[in-house]
Amino acid sequence: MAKPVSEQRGNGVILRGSFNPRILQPAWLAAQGLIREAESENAEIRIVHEQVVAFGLEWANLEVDHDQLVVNSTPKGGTPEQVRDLALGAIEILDHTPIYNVGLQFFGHYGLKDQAARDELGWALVPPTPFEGQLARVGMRSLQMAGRRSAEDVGGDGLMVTVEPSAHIAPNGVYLAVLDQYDVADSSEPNVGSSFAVDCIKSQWDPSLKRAESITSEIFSVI
Amino acid sequence: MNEKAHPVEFLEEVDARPIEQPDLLARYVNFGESGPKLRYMVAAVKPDLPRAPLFSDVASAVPGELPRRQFIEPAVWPTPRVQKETFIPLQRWEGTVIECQEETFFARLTDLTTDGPAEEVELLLDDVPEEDRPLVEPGAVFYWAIGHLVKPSGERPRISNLRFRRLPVWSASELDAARERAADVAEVFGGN
Repeated sequence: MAKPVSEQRGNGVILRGSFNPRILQPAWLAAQGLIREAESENAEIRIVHEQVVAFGLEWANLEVDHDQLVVNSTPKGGTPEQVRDLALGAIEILDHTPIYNVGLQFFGHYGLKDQAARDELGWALVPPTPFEGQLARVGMRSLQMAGRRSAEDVGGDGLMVTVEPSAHIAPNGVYLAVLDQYDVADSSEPNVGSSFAVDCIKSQWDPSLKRAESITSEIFSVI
Repeated sequence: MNEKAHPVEFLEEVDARPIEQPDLLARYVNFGESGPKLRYMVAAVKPDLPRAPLFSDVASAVPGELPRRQFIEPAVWPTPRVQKETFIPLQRWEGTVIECQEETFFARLTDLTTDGPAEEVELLLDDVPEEDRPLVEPGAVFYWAIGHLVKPSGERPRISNLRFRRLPVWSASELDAARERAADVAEVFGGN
């Protein structure tokens, strides 16, 4: 394995269901004790609209619209558990909010020792041969692979792995993300609430984090 | 219906610009470089002019006057903005408060970076952000990371980031379930 010489980690929680963006604002999160008052006051408000709310804290970004809530870490974030707890806390309080799908994403920007190492990784994952007749100086720009965690997975259950050049670590960085997706309830059922999503996040967090670590190691082991 | 005018200014990354009264046209999730982010296609509409047709209205637009752009998703993902400061953790722990004293507290730490035995430490209350101090009590969970804050200037000061877990108080049903589990465990060990 070509051990990365530096790395930046992050994570996100993506929830699909039926949300009320007007509720999920910094002042409400502070009133519920989920973030500090000072964080609420200093939140960077990007958009507040009846259909969309998006704002940033020093350690997390939160974006919500009528059918999706995304909480993800910022480069200054401390631990992935903080992001998990913010998403978890919000939906535990809003327990009547129907949530049908949960996505747990872990990503990292990894600095490789040189361009040759990065090219080697790209070519190992996507051999350039089929493109060489038509493209000069061919290289891998983006790769997304999707699959199931096991044969028992159905519906939207599964994994998506993304490998790209990093925009954060120049010039030899690689961005690698693992998105673990779970169908937690039938989307035709309006009265499911958030409890299935809460249970999913609590029970799947550790396995998901370990799976992401394992996939990351496996990918870097190809070179 | 007059659809000839195009009074719409299309903006792709609303989080980068303040917009008054935006009209949401389309939304997609970018799972790219900087993590999952919702992106929005919005149109700031001048109130005295008709709005340009949405993608779903294309069929009913004036023949030969198709909208300038059709919005489902962009051909090229926007380049994420690079943040100015980045925290690179060297070590992360999850801690549980065991005992509080006047100026310090004792905690049990579990290493989140590598597998290792739990260790007990004494930490200064001064190291806890002021707003988190009321949360410091036996049983409280916190996350502690030590690492480098990488600045655009190249400086890499070592910093400590300590944050107490903030979750809603336990509901009555959760407490009942916990009592039930505790009773089961007690029965296994021969308790009453």
